[in-house]
Amino acid sequence: MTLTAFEARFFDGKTAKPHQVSVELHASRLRVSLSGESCSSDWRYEEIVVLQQPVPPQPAVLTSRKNRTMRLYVEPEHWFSLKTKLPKTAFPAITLSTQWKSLAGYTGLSVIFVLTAVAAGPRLFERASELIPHSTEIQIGKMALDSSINHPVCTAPQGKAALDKLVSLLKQGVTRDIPFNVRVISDDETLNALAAPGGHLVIFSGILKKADSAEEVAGVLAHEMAHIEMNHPMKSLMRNLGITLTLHLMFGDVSVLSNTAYFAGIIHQFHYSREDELEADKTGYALLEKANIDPSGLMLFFERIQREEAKNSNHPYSKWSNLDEYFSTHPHTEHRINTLKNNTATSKSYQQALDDSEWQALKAICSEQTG
Amino acid sequence: MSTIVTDQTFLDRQITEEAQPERIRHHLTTHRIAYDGQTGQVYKIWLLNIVMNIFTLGIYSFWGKTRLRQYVAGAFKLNKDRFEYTGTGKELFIGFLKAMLIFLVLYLPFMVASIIAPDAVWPLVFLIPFFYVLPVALYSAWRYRISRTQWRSIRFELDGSVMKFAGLFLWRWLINIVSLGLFIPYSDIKIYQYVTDNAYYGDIAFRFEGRGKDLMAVHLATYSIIIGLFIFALYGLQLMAASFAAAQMALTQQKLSVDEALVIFFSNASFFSALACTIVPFILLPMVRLIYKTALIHEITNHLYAGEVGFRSTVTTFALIKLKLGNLLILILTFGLGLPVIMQRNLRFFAQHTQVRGDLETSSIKQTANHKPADAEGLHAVMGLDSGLI
Repeated sequence: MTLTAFEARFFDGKTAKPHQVSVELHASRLRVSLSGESCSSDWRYEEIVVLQQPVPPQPAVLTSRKNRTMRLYVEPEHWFSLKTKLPKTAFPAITLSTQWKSLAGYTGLSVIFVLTAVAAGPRLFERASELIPHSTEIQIGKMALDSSINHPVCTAPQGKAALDKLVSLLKQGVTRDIPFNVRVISDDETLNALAAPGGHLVIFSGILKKADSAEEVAGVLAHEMAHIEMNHPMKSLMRNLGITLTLHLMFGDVSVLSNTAYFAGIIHQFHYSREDELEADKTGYALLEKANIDPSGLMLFFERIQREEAKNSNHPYSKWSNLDEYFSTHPHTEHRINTLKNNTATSKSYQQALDDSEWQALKAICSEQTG
Repeated sequence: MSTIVTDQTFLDRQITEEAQPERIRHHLTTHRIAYDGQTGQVYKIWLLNIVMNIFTLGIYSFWGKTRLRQYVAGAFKLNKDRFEYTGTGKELFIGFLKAMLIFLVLYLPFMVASIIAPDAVWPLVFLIPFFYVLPVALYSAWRYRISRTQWRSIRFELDGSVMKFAGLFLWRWLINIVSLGLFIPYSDIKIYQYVTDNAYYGDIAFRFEGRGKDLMAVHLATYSIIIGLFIFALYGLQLMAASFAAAQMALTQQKLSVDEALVIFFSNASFFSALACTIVPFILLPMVRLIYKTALIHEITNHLYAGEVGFRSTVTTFALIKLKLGNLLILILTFGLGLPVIMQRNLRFFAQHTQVRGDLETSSIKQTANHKPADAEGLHAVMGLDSGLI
């Protein structure tokens, strides 16, 4: 039996001293002996790890499981005779065929991760909104309003007193421990009201101008307070944040500055989903019931809005064209009226939300303004 | 193969001229670095990477990159022995995930702030950490790659603090801006110094003795040429504007047709001189910059020592211009398909122009166990800093 032997470079992993060695291939092991010296060491084939297969002119790089810092460089021309003797375990995940499994695994995991992120990310953020402390929420709402609304605030004292009375009546049904900060801003052209995080409510004076009774205003107020009660503003904020963040992470966009404009767009109005609006209608109704205020006020107000909408469609440039702006994001008015009508089926006697003088004072709240 | 060149008289002259440290004098062997990577092999790895990335949504890139680095490291030879890259695709992938997490944490405050106050300026404060991202990504990438490179079974290491490096990097960057680029050599050297001060091969520390001062003369010279060229270009633009104004006047006042006005525009003597004045500086500017670049390469290579071993660069400005121009042409003419060729050119250039001097055989360099393995370079990949192939 002829013994295969060849020269190779060996490094012990302890020093940078190069060793020219001769390698003998035996049946179950290879023998590495230092040229010109008598000392030698035996490597069983099972303990050998092939770190790199040769790519001519680059040699094969081998190490031993006993000491992974050692290196044996086998030139390509001697590789074949050695390769046939090595067991499969000598080739760890360095070739594409053995990499397939882990690669497919990682790819699958990444796909699952991305899909989960897209599906659950926004929801997760929505849930996370509950973790935000009230003080932070109040601060966020204040900043959002300060930076997006710069109309004068109506401050006539009697009007404010009447407004506060409505708020405290409705507050009876509110379970969340959050202070309400309601302000009327002077904008007769806008039929709008909005709820920002932290109990900040804004009523555009257009609502007061258009409303026929305190019950109608109470209805609008109850609806907005219901948004706060259900934590909708923070939820929508976090949901949007979640969506945007997920998209950004997926597409690797780090040009953060360009997003500011985008955020300004969606945040300005605090969009709520259709489910949120219906939920707010329902909760608002409960708040009105609890305060013993006729809930049909909201319905009447919606009906008037609907008539305006009908009229409006003939006169696109009428002064109420702002209507669309608010109500396009709301569920179809007719649908809401029907829902409310179902709820107000029982006839019951309610207290007057505000007496006449208070109602007149509220309507005149914008006779004094600041800002 | 005659990669070892003994060059007694040349080195002696150099030593007396530049007063190298005493201990270098006795080791007179100059070793060339050889690079024998095959362009065909690089293409094979590169194309496989592209195809696999399509099927794996880019996940393969970490393994593909590793394969390429492994090949390239193995193609570098110093005194018979090849370098080895020991990084893994898995490490890169995990590093990438970590970097994503860091990015998320840094990104959130700004996002929330810009939601709260869309029109305000103060949310920009939250972008300040992002200044740190670039140098942090750079240093951690170097650290990872260096710690995964070994020669003769002994690892290279890069110690030091990523944040300290980032601080230095940003500070020098600020100085460069404030001084209108006047102190660029000092900044370049200081930053390089931090890296080399923390670099090791086994238990041997790298030592760098270069000075920014040495580069000031060439920097100031090229700096003034660049300013001169700028003024020249501005003058050219002015001539161009004048030529344009003349043509426009012809168009409006003399009621000529557009064709006739164009003839006037192009036949105007000032047009061609203007064109020359504008184009010539823009061709010359990068070339002038390469004069400084050459000097910088010499400074950082020739004053670098690892124990008793020194380094030397043979780069010339002309060779550098040839390399860069060639790369640019290849990139344009092949629509990016020549990227592996460009990489090969750069690596060959480096090997060809870098020499190692000293005794590599009898040294007693030992492996150290002190250094912890560095984290992978994820931030680098997230930042999209991998402009080249490896």
